[in-house]
Amino acid sequence: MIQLTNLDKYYSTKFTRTFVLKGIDLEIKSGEFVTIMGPSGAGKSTLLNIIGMLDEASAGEYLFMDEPVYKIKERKRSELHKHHIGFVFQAYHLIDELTVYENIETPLLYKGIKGKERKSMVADMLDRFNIVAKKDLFPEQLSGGQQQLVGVARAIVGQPKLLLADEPTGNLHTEQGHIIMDIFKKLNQQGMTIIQVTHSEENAQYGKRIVQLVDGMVKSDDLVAAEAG
Amino acid sequence: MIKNHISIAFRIFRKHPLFTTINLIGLSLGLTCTLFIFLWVQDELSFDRFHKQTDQLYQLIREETFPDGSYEYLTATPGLLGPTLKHDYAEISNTCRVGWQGDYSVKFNDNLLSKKVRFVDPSFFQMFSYSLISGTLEDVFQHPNEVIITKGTALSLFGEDQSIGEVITIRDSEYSYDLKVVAVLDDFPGNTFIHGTEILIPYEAVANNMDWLNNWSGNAFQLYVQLVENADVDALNLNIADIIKRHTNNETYQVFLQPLSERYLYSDIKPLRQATGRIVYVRLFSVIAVFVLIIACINFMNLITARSSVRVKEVGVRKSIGANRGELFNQFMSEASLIVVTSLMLALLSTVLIMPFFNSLTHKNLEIPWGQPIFYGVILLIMIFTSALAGSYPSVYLASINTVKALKGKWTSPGITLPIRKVLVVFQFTLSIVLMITAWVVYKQVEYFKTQHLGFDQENVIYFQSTQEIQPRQEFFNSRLTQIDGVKSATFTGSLPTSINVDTSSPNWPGKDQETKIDIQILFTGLNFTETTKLKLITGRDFTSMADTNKILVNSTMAGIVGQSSIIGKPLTFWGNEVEIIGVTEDFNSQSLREPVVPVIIWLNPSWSENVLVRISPDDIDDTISKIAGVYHQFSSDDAFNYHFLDETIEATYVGETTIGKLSAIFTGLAIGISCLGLFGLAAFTFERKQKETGIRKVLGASSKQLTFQFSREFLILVVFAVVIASPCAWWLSTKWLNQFYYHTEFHWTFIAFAAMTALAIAIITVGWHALKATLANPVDSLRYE
Ligand SMILES: Nc1ncnc2c1ncn2[C@@H]1O[C@H](COP(=O)(O)OP(=O)(O)O)[C@@H](O)[C@H]1O
Ligand SMILES: [Mg+2]
Repeated sequence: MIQLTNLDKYYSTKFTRTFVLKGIDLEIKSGEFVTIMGPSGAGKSTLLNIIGMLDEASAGEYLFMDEPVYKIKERKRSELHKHHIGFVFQAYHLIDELTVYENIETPLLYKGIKGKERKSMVADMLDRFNIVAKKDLFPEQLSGGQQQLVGVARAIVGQPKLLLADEPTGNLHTEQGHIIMDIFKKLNQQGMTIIQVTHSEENAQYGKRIVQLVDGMVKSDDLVAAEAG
Repeated sequence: MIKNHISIAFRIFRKHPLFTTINLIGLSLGLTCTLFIFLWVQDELSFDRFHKQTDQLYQLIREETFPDGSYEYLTATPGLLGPTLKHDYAEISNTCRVGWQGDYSVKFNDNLLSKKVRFVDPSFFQMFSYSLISGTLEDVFQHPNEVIITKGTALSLFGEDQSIGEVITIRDSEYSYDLKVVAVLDDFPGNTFIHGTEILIPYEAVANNMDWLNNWSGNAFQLYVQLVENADVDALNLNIADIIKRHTNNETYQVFLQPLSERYLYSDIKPLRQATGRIVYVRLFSVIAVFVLIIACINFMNLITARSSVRVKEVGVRKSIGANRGELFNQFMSEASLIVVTSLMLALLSTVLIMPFFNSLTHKNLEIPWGQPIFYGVILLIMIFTSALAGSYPSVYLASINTVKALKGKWTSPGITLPIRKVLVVFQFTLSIVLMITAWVVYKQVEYFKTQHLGFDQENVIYFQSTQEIQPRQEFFNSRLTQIDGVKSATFTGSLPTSINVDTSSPNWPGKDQETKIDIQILFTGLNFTETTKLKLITGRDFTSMADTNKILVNSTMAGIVGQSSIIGKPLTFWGNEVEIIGVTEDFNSQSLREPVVPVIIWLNPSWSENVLVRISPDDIDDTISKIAGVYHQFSSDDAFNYHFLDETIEATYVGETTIGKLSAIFTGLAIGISCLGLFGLAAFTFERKQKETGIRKVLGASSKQLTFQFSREFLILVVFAVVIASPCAWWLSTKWLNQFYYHTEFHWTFIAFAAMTALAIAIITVGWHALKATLANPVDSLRYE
């Protein structure tokens, strides 16, 4: 599904070029559950954003579903965002002016899904995450954990093939974090490809593969012990 | 999707009420202003365009050349000119003489009223299109004893009763006519040359008393001309140019035709027949309307982009979900359109509410043309224009924000737009200050008109027309008036001394330089003229008795022309009379202050003096006037007592300038208001960028006061800059405007100082509020952003 070859990301100033990512080779197959780990500033978010096509690489090759990403036009890219990729953010990033229900509904509106079907899809999400009672509340009326549930619900309501999560549990208590991770695991079992960034060894264990990133380079790339064993 | 956009828009509006209110007010102000100017301009352009044959209608203008090479353009023409033109030129299909409007007493049974009357030729109804309420216009005025009245007149004379066929009596100070009502017209609309007239009488009815109708001497008629279709008016103008000369040997007159539909807007004809007039104001206000709307739109744009950091995260999220630029553009565009539509509603509402006030100010009768499809077209056009102008830039701008930066919250407004914003603020304030100064100048000039010493005292003087009964007993009437306690003095005059309309170039005196031909105004008067008007006598004596009918007074200017030395006792001849100068008065303004003082002869000639001027004491005016009315009715029970105050009549001659002054004041207020919003937007924008700086400075120990001062200063510099640009522009415009009046106030530097102070004060309040808010904020809050 994802094929990165010798990928660089750097920021240029007048005299220097600061590399954030250098020589990344990474292949992620459909159905994988990959955890990216590494110290702060290692380039994890940058990598995730490039994979999610929110950001562009400076050099190297990126094939998404066998298609070179640099050739993908903006319109096609937003189509990919609509149909294939879901994002979960550390800061939840819900739209403050929309209710829980409307936040979850928004991706479906962009996908152009019609009334009845849309309603049942949103209802399904609310039900699945046990937040039916909260559907008319605004984000600021929810706890962090609840907000992140909504964030996840919004990310997956459009049934994307790839879920990208940048420290989804970073602002949550351990308890709340586990709930999110359980959901991820279940989604992965149902066939969704997941790439997450986390600092938590414990959360990493939910995945199948761990990529260690240090100073913009892949330091290690191992299968999770429990699974391997 | 649209529902989603609208509900988010409403929630955002509710969440930021101040921001939304400012946007709404700004745009509504701009739109209201545009709507008013649109309606006003539309009305100004509509004058006499509703006649079926508008394109074929013209008014005849008489061009008079003076020996010094100057010109004058007049509408008064000889009586035979019309019939001769129609007879001699195939291109002229019809002509109509129209008299000047006069007050006449109108009586039906016991109902006695004063009405505004004009005499016209029967062709009037073939040429002009006015709507008929009852009666018939066929064969109208075929009999000399017919009359046509307006709806309002019919109502006041006959109530709800049938008026057709009734006979009414119309009287002036010489004659009475019994006339049969043959038709009732709708009241004349505000946008026609004959507006205000209430009764039309055919010239045939007075033909016996008016020799001028059938000769070439005297200029007593306004002449309207209808051409055949597709006539070549330029060629015709060449052919008719010397028609008066051909019939009278008068070398100084030329005539030409001006389209009737241009008469209102291009009434001021300058040498070489360059016509101008109100059209200047129409153009000026149209430009202002467009400017105001553009500025309002720019402010809207500025405010929205300044506030975009609030929306940045949302943009990032929506993009990550898959919204493309187009979809984001649509969202922000529909939000903008929502504000535009709401503003437009508000603007329409306030237009309806302000309309009566605006109408009384401009002396118009405007209303929103709800029934006209073109109005909705214009509204739609304004809506699209405003939405596009105000909404497109912020929408493109927001839609193109970088997603990653947006999500990180690291986005800041691009710095490049700051200079542009500053230029816009300078531009707005320049416009406001120019408007402020010129409005002030106009106000000063109008005040000047009202307070300028005219040479006599126009206050506490009433005047009214004499009657057939009073005329032969002037002295007795006068003595009866002065017996009233509140009456100080009374006199009779021909013209009003403020607008003498009789002039001649024929007077002769010993030693006159025959080369120079000068126009001398002649004022007929009764006894007590100088006493009643408080006109000062410089040398010689006043009229003392009716024995002085062959004596005249002259004003200083006239005295200067005749020759100052031994002027008393000098004989003067004109119109076959030999008269003698017995005194010299101070100069006085016998025309409007737009014109210089001219030579005037004051001639004791009671029988040609048909106005009664009465000086009354300022106490208990109502009582005095009712007593005057009592005396009047003892003499003339069949005439309506219709009096005016002289000072009000003088003020009324400056109604155009007064209106322009008031309109300028309104637009100035609007421009200042809108400019403040612009400054407010810039301040909001800048302080948002300065949040972190403010926080750091405060942590470092700067006081709120220091910061407020420091931040305000850079905005005030913009206003100072605007003052520097605006002052010469305002000076140039004002001087140009003032110079059209012979008597005018001078442009004074305090006008600029006043405007500059006002602009600065307003700017300080606008910016200071922001600066204070920003500097009072908790530094921790702003630093946490990073
Ligand atoms: N716009 C930018 N310009 C320059 N450097 C940047 C920019 N964005 C991120 N960086 C740098 O890239 C590095 C990696 O950032 P990031 O991917 O957010 O790290 P992580 O998520 O692993 O903590 C950091 O050192 C950061 O300073
Ligand atoms: Mg990160």
